[in-house]
Amino acid sequence: MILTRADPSYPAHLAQCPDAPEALHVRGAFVRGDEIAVAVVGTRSMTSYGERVACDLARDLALSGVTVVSGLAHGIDETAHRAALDAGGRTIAVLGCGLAAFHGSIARRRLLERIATGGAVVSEYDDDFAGAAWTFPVRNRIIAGLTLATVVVEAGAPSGALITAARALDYDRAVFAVPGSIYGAKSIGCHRLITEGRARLCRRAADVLAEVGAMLPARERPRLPLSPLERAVFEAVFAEARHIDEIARDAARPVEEVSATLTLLELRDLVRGVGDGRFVARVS
Amino acid sequence: MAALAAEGTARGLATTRACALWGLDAQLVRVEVDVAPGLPSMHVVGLADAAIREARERVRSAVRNSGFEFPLRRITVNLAPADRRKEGTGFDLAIAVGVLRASGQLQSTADPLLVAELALDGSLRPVRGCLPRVAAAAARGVDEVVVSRENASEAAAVDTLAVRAARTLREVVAHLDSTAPIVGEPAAPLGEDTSGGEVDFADIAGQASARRALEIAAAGGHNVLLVGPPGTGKTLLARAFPGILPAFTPRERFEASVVHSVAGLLGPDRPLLAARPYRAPHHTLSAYALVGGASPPRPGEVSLAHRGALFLDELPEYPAAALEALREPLEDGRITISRAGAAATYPARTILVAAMNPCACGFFGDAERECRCLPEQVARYRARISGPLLDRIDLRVGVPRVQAAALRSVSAEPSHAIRERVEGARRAARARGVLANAELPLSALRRWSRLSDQTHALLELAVAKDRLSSRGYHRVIRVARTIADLESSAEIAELHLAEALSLRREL
Repeated sequence: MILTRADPSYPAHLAQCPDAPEALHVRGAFVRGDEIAVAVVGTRSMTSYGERVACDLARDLALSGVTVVSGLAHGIDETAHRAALDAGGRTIAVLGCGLAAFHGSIARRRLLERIATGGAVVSEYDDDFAGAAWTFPVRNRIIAGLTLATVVVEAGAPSGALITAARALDYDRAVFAVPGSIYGAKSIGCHRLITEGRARLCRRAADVLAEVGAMLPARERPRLPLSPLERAVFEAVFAEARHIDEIARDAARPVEEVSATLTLLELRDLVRGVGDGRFVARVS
Repeated sequence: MAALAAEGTARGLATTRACALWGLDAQLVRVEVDVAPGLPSMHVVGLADAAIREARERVRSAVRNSGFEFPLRRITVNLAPADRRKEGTGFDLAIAVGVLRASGQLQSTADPLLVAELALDGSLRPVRGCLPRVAAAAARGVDEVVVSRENASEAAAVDTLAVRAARTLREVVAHLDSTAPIVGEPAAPLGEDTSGGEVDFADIAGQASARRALEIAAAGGHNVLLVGPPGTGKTLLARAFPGILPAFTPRERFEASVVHSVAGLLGPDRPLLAARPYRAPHHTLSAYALVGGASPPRPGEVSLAHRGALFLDELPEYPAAALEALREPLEDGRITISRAGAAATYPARTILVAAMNPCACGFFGDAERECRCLPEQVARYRARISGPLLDRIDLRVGVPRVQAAALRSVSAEPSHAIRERVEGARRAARARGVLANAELPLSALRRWSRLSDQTHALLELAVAKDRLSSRGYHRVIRVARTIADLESSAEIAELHLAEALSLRREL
């Protein structure tokens, strides 16, 4: 599908940008609510700290009803897309090549298909355009243009994510940066954004939601046919990932019941294991 | 049977009894000794290995140094059955007594089993694998065995035959011709079952899901993997594990002791294992040391842990070859080692308790410390545990850092209370003809694992959602059976299966 700037369904925020593309190639679809979008971007060679942050941020944003936008690159980008989808949320990927010419890893090509069904994949280039070194930085303006705020999770000294942040500032959108280790090379760019006053500090999704959250409709927790124990366990992991032991202690229930209940919820796609005994809710 | 050896030219023929060992499989061996005219020489035939052929020299010196005469004739020793390869030094005494008989220096028809190595001065030395040899002989109706003093208490664990412990070849001869009979060794008392962890579960705060997983592991004989950052108590939990294993039954104790006997790990001070074995080999060991091997084959750690527990700390640090070699024993409860001309099967019915960090630096997912690994490094680290190996580990739990608040809170349940529930589950398993549910064969599993419609639907759902491999399908039902047994429930309820599925989660 091709959307021109004249098209009423052309993303409104992007349309305000002077250098917005004349036409957008789209797989999947934009839906109402996609205008409340936040970009989560960062380095390709992330640390596991970065992965955790990207995952938590994208998930919590998605859980709050925000559409997560990124560039489907290795590292932070793909993590953010995946976390948003896993949480049952919306996500949009902006490519630097044609929609039919994406040649990433198998895992990312699979992810692309998931995004195309559960969100949208867009590009300003013709479907079989292979992309070039300069097209990837250029598409970053679309990521910035589609969103109300851009969060840079990890960025080295020169980084594509910093370009996205610069475009966002050009368009008068909010920019956030996540702090990291002062000794590591992967957070130098983020720290510079913060010290130069161009980005605000982001510690969790709530920091971003304070900026864009007012625009969100109040969201209701899903009314599901759950037993009291299932309800209690689901509520316990609704906002953040928690370990079985913690849930059991807080609910004062035997760990075996909680463990079994989590699996029942998981098989009904209501919660998801995030590793080593920790779980978080999915929303649909 | 007694030999007659007229001066000069007469032939002498005599037989004695020894016992050969292949793995744990012991078979009585007829030692035939022929002393015939000819150039002085001694030949051992009957597929004897180097150690047995060397017996010639030991026997010659031992006979002479015991004050007997070594016949200067042509001596042929045959070990029957002659078509199976035999190894070890356990035939020395039988050959020496045969030579004395065939040369007319011992006139007695007594025909006990003779199991000892000879020193050059004629004294008796212990042999590896005394226990299975004596047990096999007893099972075939042998009523008397002569062993070295060091092997005496081990042999005396078999109480259906008379055990004579001798120090020297002279004493053996004096016993056989009744000039100085040796008093039978008193049956070795079983002694206290000293099983028990060095750590009590009462001293471990928090870790509810790890405690639960270890309880299920002990109750059903299932394998368990603890994943968590360093310093969260994985090793402590593993060390407490023996304390909740059920009482060591005499049958299990015998089985485990036999393996230790073959490995040469029993002695006068420890004739039988006093407690369930708990083996914790370091991760620098080789595949042979872990599952057994070498030539001639020896039992490895996984067999030494038979009827007990095998603790592998830092699981991904073990050599890949060693970990892959674990698959067969974990699946079948035994391991067959084949070497040129010799195959040995050792039992390996053990509970694997493995521990690992979540990543190479150890802090992935830790709330307090920062992980320095790249995500691919984390994935690579975990991939060191191959899918087929992980498939055989039914219980996988995350061991989180315990918050200080939880450390101070409620006092934890002591080991003996957990052990009581474990015993209950084991009783249920014994009623099905096995010692633990992990050993239930498929036919028995079907018979004893009635699933309610609801439970069955859940199982189908798990399969549809790709949560179970075909091996995992039956393994998860075994675990669910154990969980139901811990609640004395005849039927496997939905929650039982759900918990079993929960514990089988991917890393």
